[in-house]
Amino acid sequence: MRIELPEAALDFGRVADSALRGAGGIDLARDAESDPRAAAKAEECLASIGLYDIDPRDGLDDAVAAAELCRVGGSHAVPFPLAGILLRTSPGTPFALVDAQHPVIDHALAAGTWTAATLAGDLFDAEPVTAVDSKIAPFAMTAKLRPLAGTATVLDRRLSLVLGAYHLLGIGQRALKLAIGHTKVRKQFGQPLSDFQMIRHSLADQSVGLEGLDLLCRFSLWSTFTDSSPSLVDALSVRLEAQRVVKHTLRVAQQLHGASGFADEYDISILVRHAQPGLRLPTDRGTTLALLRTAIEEYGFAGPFSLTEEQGAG
Amino acid sequence: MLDFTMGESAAELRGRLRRMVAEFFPADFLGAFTDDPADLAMTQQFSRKLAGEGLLTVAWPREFGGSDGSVWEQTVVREEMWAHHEPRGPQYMGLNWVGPAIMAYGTAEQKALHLPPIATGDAIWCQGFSEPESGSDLASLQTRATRVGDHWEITGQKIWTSYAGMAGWCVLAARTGPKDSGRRGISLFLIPMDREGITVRPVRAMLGPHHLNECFFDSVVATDGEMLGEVDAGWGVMRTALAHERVGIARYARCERLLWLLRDVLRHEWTDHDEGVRNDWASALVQVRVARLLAYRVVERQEGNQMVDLEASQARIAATTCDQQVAEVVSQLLGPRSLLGPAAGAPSHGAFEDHWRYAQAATVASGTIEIQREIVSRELLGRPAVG
Repeated sequence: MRIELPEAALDFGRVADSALRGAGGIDLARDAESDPRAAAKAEECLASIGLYDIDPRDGLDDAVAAAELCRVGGSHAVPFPLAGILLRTSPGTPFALVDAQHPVIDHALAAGTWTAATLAGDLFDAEPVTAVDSKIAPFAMTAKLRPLAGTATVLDRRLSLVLGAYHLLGIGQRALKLAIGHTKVRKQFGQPLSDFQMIRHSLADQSVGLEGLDLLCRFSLWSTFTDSSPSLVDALSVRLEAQRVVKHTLRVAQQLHGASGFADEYDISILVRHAQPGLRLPTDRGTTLALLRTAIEEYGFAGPFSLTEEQGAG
Repeated sequence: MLDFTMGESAAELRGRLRRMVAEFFPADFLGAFTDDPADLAMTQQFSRKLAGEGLLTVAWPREFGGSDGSVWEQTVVREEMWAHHEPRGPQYMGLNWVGPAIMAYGTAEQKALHLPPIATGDAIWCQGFSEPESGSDLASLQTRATRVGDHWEITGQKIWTSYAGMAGWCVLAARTGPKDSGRRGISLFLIPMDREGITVRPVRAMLGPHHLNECFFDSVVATDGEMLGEVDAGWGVMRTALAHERVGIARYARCERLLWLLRDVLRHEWTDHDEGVRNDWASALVQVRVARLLAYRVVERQEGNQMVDLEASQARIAATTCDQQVAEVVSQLLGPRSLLGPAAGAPSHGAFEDHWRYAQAATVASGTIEIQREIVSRELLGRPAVG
């Protein structure tokens, strides 16, 4: 059993965090809404620390580095399709999971053509068409799909879901930090908000959710390479948990900021808005849960007690 | 690199424990705390059998009667025992934390007196911590140990004391400092429960008979040699003990076993059930896995001798809320059958009804969920401890 991340991966995460902070941090996301050069600056920063040298399909070592990069990128709401680029199918062609009925891709302008796939594995060329033009998805575009022969690999679909969960984990971790910082300094009724037990306990509950999600991300990343079945069950489970936990953490963090939580000069407002595509694409939480339940009914859900005891599950 | 397997020896141990439980206990065994004294007797016999095979104190050092097993083997034992309704009966408290606390803080005489009977499954311990006026605010406890000549006299009342009626020994927390000394004036004593001046009264409870008790201490004599650790330094021992206790019960293991047992019980009618409720079942499985991983992280850190206060409390919050979530999911899927007791033909001999009752206490026992949230938020916010 080895649950802690290797020191090399943690080092890489620290380097990525430092580089993104140096490039502007969440200001990059804030600026990108009106200035496309911010996205280019984000890419330049990520390229400088080795983004294009990582191949998450290559094995767990590279996948852990990719995951750490997605987590750190999420914590800055980096205006760039990190997971999509990490899973590119050819130079300049990122990969995204889509809902084939309503194909929408976040940060779609990063490429002229994408490779898209449904969770079932149907493959498409995807061409960005129109910006969705909303405050809660400032970089998302509808896409036109052209079917391709073949099926997206299970590995690609698992990695896309798990790296997406890491992205959301980073967003959630940053939201909790912002909430902690705000409640320590914001005073009402003559005392910091964090002196109120209900607020402290709410922060504690968010931390439990995020710590659990962090561990589930690690498990699911490991299982991506060790589960020999064709199932997406572990990847779906971590997406479901990311949707549950991060949605709630963002809500609580925004609430604790009071009216400031809606003001874009506060980072929490940017995080809440920019997190929405990741929370809703390619599936909302209800759809993820239904897919997960069906997958568990078919393939089971690994654990010490998941098989009948007569089989002596180990 | 990341690895979520426990290894061959742990897998073999799991299989061996399952065979032992299946061979030793009837299918309707639901733990030691029933109206039938045979259930307690069986758990005592089983504990001795485990001890005979070196499995009762698997991770204890050999010098104290253990098997020098890994913390992961110990984790397998915890999971298998709790999942199967704790066939060690009231032994787990002695194994999980009383023994380790005596190893860490006890004198040579205390180790020689107490560790062998715990390792052989012959001693039952209870924990005299909570008082009528000191629940979550444990540091305010007022049971008094007064110095009289060359010994101590202890007077006060404890409550919610599990196993007190069947225990041979008690780890008793008493105030040796001034009344308002808080956590800085508490000492621990290792007291035989048959000592003059101790009265035990059972408290009827939804957990079943023999579980909860009140204990009255009336000028109970204790010697210096019965104090665990230094005078007034009991809080530090309790804190370490409670960190072990928070992950000592593998609640997630019983949850996972019951969710799959339920699937098996309902196999012929599974697809007749509403998809929403089946989704809740799937969602509960995810929460069980999360609780298990949080517990494993504490084990990994304990293996590396790292502080685990924050992580242990996070794990406990997840495990106890998961217990209650699973209880509700199971009740929804079973419908009116969830109300049946064993004699009325309850599914799985009443295991689900038993779990629901125990789950209600999960967020209170061994430190309420509110106290766990205080510990977690204190770490998050960098606040000092109170009390």
